Amino acid sequence: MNEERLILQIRDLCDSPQPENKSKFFQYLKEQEMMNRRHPVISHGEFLAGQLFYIGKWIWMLAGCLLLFIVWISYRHPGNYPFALTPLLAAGILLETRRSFRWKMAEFEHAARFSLRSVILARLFLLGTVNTTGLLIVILIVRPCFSYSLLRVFLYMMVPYLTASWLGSVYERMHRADQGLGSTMICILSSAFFAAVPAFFSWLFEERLTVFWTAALVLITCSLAGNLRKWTRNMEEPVWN
Amino acid sequence: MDLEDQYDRIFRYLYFYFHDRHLAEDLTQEAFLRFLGSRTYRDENRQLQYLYTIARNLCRQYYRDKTITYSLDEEKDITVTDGFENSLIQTLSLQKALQSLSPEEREMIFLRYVNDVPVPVISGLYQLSRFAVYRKLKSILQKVRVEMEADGYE
Amino acid sequence: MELTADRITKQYKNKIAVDRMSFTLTKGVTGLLGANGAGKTTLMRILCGILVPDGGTVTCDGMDVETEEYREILGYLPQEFGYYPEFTGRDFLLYMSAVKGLQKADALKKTEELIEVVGLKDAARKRVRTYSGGMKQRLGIAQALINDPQILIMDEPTAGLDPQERIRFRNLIANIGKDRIVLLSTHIVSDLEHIADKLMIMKEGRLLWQGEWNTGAGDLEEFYISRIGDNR
Repeated sequence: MNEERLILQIRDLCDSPQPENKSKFFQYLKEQEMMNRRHPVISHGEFLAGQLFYIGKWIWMLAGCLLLFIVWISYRHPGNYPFALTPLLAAGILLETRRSFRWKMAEFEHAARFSLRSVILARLFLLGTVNTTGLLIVILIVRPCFSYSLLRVFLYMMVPYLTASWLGSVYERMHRADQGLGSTMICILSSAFFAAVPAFFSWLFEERLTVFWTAALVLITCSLAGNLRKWTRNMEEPVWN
Repeated sequence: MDLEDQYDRIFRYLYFYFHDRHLAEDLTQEAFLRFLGSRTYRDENRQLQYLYTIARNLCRQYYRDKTITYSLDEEKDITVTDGFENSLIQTLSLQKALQSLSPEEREMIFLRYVNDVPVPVISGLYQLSRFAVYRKLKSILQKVRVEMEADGYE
Repeated sequence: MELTADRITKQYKNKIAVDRMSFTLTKGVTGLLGANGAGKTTLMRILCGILVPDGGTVTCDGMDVETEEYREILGYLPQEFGYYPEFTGRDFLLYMSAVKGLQKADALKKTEELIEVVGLKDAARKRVRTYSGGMKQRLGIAQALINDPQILIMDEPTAGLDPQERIRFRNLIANIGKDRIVLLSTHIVSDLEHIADKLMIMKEGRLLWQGEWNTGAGDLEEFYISRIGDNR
């Protein structure tokens, strides 16, 4: 006998009569309003949109001013120095991720449905997207100020920005609950470093090294992504130890 | 989760154990009240697993209480038998084969093939991996078949 | 509804904060008593999923403590907390509603309702910065209740409240505790005397005593001291 027939026979064998009071019972449940005890909850998208309004106003202002400053400097002194400003853009993003700890809201958020992790990720995502988009637009605007091709301006702008983001996020991942401004310092130092580069190693900006910059961009982007993944996975727990 | 549909299935599950319409329905309603009285996972399979866990605990509790009453009052026991034993003799040989299984094996076969409980839910109920559930179901069916063939049924 | 802790253990570098504690919480108010440093806060953080224990599990009706669904029915008041500097009392509650996943209409309704319940109506649109300690504490209590939690865990909830506010808080909790799991920690014994149905006494990370408590059973303070003393 094949399996299907066997199963069908078992089903037949275990047939039951129909329950008698089913409709009465469900009527009762509906009257007692027991059918839907769960509150409707907002979706992740709605949560993300809501968080947009809770990001500190001065963080937006800082980013805005910085981008305008980059544009202004590029028009006035289109040397290799404007590129050194982009790491500061990362400082705002990283600062915002520690806001919960700074203002002692972390425990509240941690015990809520959308957890501390969602809150930090939402901030990272929102600020990261807006700042990066802003920078990309600025690159398009200032491109005519430089004698470089669009690709090279893009590389010279993005590499310092992503380097600072990467190093800063490594610091944030390792020293979460500290009050310190470590990641801001890292951004400022990266900025200083990239300001010093054209003074001492101006040959780095020669066209033949574009390949090198591209490789650096790819490498740093991968490191940043890897670090963000690690950070995301382990964003909450060690905070209280 | 379609509660009304699950009501029928939980009823069938309890009927399978007690073979008593009224008792099965009482316990079904009790299980639903408990289920709705507490909030649980949003995931359907986890919900279903929780519902079956409640029903199963009610069963056990009932068996336990009855045993106590029996030993104290020396009354005639309310016969608690599982469905395979008492149902109409359709396929005697199949019945005998099923009877040779352990209660847990019978329950697993019932849940999967009669009540169409998804394998992940069964794996949660028995604390087995999904793979182990698949394997176990296959081996039980095989056992039934061997038993029936030994009985001369082809 | 049952909240079950099974052999939970948490160890810091050189100290065991919670040592293989097992217990079950049911509907009603449970008081958690213990001196400072007995491990109350660590235990509560574990029950809220904020700290992951080194061993053991916490579940509620089969739901694990680290799941979204568990946090959805949880209300928690930490011992120490702050607020974002630009927040008014009302902003604070609306923000917490959002993080707890409440829909906009529900959030507005519950916020207005709870502002009334904790007596912050006149101060709701003022900055939290200008609040007194007691007002801030009441705001914390309100946020814990905003998602209509089935499990309410409060760490030293009466800290900073004046005697009148304490009485109001006790009435509020007694009411909520009727059909929910409520766990309150305190080192002030008299806070629990009239509202706790059950007691747990903790010392050095272990459960010294747990059981029902009724007001007829004598003086709670004396009982507590004798328990703590017995196990020295």
